[in-house]
Amino acid sequence: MSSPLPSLARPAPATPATEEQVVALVQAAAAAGTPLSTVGSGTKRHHGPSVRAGAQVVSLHRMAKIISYEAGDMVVGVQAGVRLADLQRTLAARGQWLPIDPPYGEATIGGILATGSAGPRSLGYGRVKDHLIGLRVVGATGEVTRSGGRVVKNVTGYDLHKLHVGAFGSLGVLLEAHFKLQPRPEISGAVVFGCKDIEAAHRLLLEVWGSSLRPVALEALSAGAAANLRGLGSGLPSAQALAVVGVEASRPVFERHLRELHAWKARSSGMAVLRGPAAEALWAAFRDAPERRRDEITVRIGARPHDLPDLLQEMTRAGVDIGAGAGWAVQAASGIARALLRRVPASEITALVNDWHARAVVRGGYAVVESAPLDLDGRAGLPFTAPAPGQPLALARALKERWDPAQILNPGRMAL
Amino acid sequence: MKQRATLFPLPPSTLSEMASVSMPAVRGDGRALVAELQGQLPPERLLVSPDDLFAYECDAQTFDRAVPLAVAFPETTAEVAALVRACNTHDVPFVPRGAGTGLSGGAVAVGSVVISTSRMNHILEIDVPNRQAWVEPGVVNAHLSKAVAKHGLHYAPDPSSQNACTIGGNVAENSGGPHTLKYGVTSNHILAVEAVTADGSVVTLGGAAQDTPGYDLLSVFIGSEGTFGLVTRILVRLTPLPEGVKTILAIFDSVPDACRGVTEMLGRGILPAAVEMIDQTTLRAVEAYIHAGFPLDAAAVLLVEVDGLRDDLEQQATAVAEALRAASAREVRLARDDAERLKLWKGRKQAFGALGRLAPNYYTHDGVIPRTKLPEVLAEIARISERNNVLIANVFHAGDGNLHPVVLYDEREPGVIDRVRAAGDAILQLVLDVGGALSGEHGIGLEKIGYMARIYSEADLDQMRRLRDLFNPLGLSNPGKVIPVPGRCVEPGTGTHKLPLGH
Repeated sequence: MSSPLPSLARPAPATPATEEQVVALVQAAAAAGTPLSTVGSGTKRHHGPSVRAGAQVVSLHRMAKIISYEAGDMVVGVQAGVRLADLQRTLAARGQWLPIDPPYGEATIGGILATGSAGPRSLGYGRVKDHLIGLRVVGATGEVTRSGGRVVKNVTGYDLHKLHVGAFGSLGVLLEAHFKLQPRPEISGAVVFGCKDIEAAHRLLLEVWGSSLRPVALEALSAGAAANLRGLGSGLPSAQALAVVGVEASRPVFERHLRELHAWKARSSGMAVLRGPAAEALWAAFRDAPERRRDEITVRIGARPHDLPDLLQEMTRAGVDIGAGAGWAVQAASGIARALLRRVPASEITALVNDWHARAVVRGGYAVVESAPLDLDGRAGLPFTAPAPGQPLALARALKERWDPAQILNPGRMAL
Repeated sequence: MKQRATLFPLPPSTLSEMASVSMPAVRGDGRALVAELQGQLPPERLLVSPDDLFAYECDAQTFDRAVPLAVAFPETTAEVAALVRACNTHDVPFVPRGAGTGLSGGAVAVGSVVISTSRMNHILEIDVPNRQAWVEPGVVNAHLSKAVAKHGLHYAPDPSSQNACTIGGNVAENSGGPHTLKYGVTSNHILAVEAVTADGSVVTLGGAAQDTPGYDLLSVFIGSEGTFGLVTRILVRLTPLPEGVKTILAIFDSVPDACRGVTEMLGRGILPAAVEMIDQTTLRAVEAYIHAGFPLDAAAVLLVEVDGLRDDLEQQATAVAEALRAASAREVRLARDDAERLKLWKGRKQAFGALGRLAPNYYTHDGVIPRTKLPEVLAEIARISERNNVLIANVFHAGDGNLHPVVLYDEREPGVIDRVRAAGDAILQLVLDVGGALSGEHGIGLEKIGYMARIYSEADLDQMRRLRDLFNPLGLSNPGKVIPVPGRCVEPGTGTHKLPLGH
């Protein structure tokens, strides 16, 4: 359940059901100079900065049609309000899926695109932008534009659709998205190792990554983060930390992974093999974990995969007080770590993340706040973004300025 | 309203008429710029004589030609930035150029200076554990894969021109290749670029770490065909070499059956690493040229590859063979060894060269269609060929639905140009009618710019212009490419097309 919103007197959200209604809302907002705040299911409102106060909320959850699905072409077109879970059910009936597994079971396609959110199996399949082949959006003056198309390979014009991924709706209201699909794997499973601590789990997974195996997910979880998986009741190792190796493949390749992963068993404090429904439950636990941690603050750290363990050690030492009792979740081969921090005053978080970023940036990495409770005092001042050397901040700001000069589209929502 | 139009303008009757319709306005003080560049670069790194410049008048698509003002060969980012700033000072456009293997006239430099990346050809850093490498833009695609092979890695995008084309050019075009069916196109393999934008500033887009905060400007820079600026360093993702590979040759007595082979595989949930179709015309040309081992009497063959961990390759190959037999393949052969496999691939990758021996001129299209439409579209292309009395060969990335109909002709034959144009226009309209895209990997460049208004609305194109103008506000970087000027060039063939000169 989501936290109560800080604002008490909020007007009811608009709930357009057609493209024309969305366009009319944007046109009206542009005419009145009223900013809009677009949401899907609203699962990630605590991710990133909030929209400037006084915005009209527009919920796209009624824009929930699957527009076109041609299984033979392995492409699908959906309205932005379609929930991923519903789409996957439709696709599964034809043995296919959109190979993404972002957090939040209620998440809509539009919300997933706008936040660029990704899950554990993005290692094996890529991120949502890698599957996006076309997009229709409403721009700041209400004009509907399109880029890309419905075919799986396309260099006709600029890939504007990719610009909307992770843009938090700041460049357009997403109407319709087209994706390429994949056949569902024959077997989905995972091998879970118990490890003495997060660092051991992290390093174990980097070794697996460097082996001849082809896992689809390599997730290290500290004891605090692993608590999310404890409810699985599937005989997970009872260790301080877990190393999860996701494998999705044909049967012979799956069996090969089981055989070779035994090499790491001796160095762990237990190994469990999950497959079938147990594996599905594992992926569902990953998906649902952030929902249960809404009252925490998540800091995302990125670095080259093999630079990350040392960096995290250094960060842990630097932030040992604030991090006490919190958890770490690491996507080892993607070089992304998330620190799950208990609620502390925003000023402390800011000091910590600025320090972490300074340590990361010298190694080509970064540290930013990804999510924080909406009612956290001083939330607006949190470092949701961080400058990296050579990154053209002026270009990014000019882009927003050029595409939305009147600041209608989720102003303030994209950290720049 | 959708307008039907011819692919190319009617043949210009005189050179002056051609110049008046075709050339984007020449601007700036070219002479002063060249003088300044002569002070910036040593003579061996700046071509200015007409004899030298002639070699740079087109790319691999030879319809569009223009002789550049000069060709510069910078060696560092700083030199590139200085060149670009000089162009700004004198208001003279510049055109980035890699190996010149582009197929859409994107490197044609009208009243412009060519900035060649050919001397920026160093692999700067190979990071084996993290599977990344920093390279300069002039590094040849295949050279990178060769350099990292000893570490068990490769650079996955493999355009057919990979022995010549450069990584910088691949970034500009968002190039594909046969194995992009499984591995994805260039944009799926680029982590970061250092770029010089059209005003001469040096920026970094993306990063060594994933999911960097901020707008994803990297993803739109890739595929911008040099209209945003040019890349000076590239961080690529390296991919482990597959443990095993099996290459399957399926022989069909009819083209529709071969098409059904593709849909049959996909329908059964089989997604191979590559699925290439080669028709009879191409097979015969290839066999005469390099003896790859293709059957001469087949209507078409499918070259299918599965790769990955060795454990299930047998199973995958069997599943592929069953699907292809179900689509009435006359014969399904498995390449016995690497030598046979490489020969088949050599045949595929040199198909265009082989076709070049069938006729003095050829023209390649690059549309992409939904894969289930392959049978009807290929049948219609055959009818277009008959109707227009031109020979059309088909050799293409069937698994992606990325067609490459190759129109073969001899420009000396009276009236043939009109028929080539009519056939090409019919093919493109056919592609658009089935919900396809103009170009899958060759780019828009000059060649297809006249078609952009057929698939994108003026509002769509305006949005693209608004993005381009951020990087390229004065229109100095590769002007007149990709996005038509508003209210102009909306009709196909008002670009700089000239008569093919016979190469």
